[in-house]
Amino acid sequence: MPLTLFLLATTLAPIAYVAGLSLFRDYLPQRSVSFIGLQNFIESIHAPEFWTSMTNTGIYVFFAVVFHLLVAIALAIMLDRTRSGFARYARVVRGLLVVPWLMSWAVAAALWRLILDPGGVLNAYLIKLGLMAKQIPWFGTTQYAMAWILIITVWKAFPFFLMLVYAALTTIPVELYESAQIDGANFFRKIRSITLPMITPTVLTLGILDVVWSLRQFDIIFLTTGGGPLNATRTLTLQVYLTAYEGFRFGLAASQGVIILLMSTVISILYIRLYERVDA
Amino acid sequence: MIHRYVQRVSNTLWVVATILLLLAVFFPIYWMVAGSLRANIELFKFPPAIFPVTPTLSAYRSILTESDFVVSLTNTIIVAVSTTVLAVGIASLAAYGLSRYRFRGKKLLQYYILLTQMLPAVLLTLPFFAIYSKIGLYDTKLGLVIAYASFTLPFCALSLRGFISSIPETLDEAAKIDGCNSLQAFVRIILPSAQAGLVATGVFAFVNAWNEYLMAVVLSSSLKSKMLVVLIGSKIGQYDIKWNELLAITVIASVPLVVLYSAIQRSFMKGMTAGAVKM
Repeated sequence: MPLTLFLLATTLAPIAYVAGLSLFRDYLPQRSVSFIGLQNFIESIHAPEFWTSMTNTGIYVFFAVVFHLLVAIALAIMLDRTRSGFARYARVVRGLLVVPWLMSWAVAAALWRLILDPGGVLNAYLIKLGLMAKQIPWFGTTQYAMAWILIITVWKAFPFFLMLVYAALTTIPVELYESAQIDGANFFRKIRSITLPMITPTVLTLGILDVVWSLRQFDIIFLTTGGGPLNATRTLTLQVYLTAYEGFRFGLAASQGVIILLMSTVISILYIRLYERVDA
Repeated sequence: MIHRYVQRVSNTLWVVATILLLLAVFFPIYWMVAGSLRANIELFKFPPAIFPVTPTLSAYRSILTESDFVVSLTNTIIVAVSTTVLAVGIASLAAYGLSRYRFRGKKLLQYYILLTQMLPAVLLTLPFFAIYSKIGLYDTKLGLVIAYASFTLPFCALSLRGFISSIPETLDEAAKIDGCNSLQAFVRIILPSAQAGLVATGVFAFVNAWNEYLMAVVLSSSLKSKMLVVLIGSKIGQYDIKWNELLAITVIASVPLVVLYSAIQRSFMKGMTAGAVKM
């Protein structure tokens, strides 16, 4: 099996390498490698940035996942096929909405930086409309930076979740809604008693996957704020990157990586449990 | 009467909500395309005009003469195409095995494939960086291809397995009775029947390789293996950004993906649901 070999070579070996590396002091400028046991882990969890980045990661992951799913569910219901008069338009709209998802995070970072630039279009029109007195450097302000990163994350990735939630919606038999209609159920009642329960397995799976994906998000944060201002958007992945490629402390970075790995493994096991239940 | 009235209000609400949604989603994209057609000073007028005042292609003209851009575009195309071929090639064999054969540890292998999708990329950059530096794959296009293929393979294999499982097994059994061996049956029967799946997973691999940033920035240092996204990233970081040129690059980096996707929209959706997020 070529796949097995390839996967072992490209995934298992690297994990073993990282796990091993996390036990060593590997500091590039001094070209020194020495075994120090668990010291890297101890240093990791004692560093104040580590806990800041842990909190930031928690905030980012929580809101990214919640908003992705909420937006996807709301829009999937809104663009559902059962709205017969608009079915054709709804299909076109669903097709169009995919565009942000196709673009690279780097592209998204570039265009949002232009829009949110202190001299950019958003500030200009907010001031012109009299909503603000002076320019706000959105990515340079601790209260706003994370919020904007979350908005960009939702803007960029919601189409994926929308597509899959919508795919789940289309598997619900129309007769269910028809008989509910006859029983006199109103719109919200139908959503609550038919739609939501039927799409729950999909939503759960997507939620777990999104936790893992958000946990490893790097591009958009690195390319908009780089973790700043004042570490307000520094997440665990950024912490690993900065420790390794700017601090050149690979052993320490590896120990932080192992901590992320443990977290995503726990979530992955949850995912597999779920996968097994619905796949069987 | 009241019912008709309610219906009318809700229809109007639907139209308004849809228009607002499209505006919110597409304004940034519009701003990107429009910005690439402006002179740089026009973008930062107060307030900037919503429509380009004097549309010009000068940004595109100047990036096409910039060797950084031309080389990294070429690199990106080479890497994305090679990744696609490599990943789909291996994945189709693996998917065939997973859907047709029973063997020990099959279930474990499938879970392992699922798990590999969960690995944080930043973690993998450490060993890739260290190993590549030692064996001379650092800063090469081949190195990027191998890294990307390893990321997309699991998804491609699982998604193709779904497609191949839906091909009736009697089809390749018939071929075997007619004297084909497994490999011939695979090439002559399975591959043509799974065409939609091959295209879908191929596009997935292509888009991933085209867009991936973290590995690309860690594993390359010179123009030799610079990807388009890395070029965009480094231009964002410059002190004095030539925005119209940067936007022209982002437009060129996005158009092929949109074209590809719209060509295969149907089978792509099928591949997505058959793959990682199997329900």
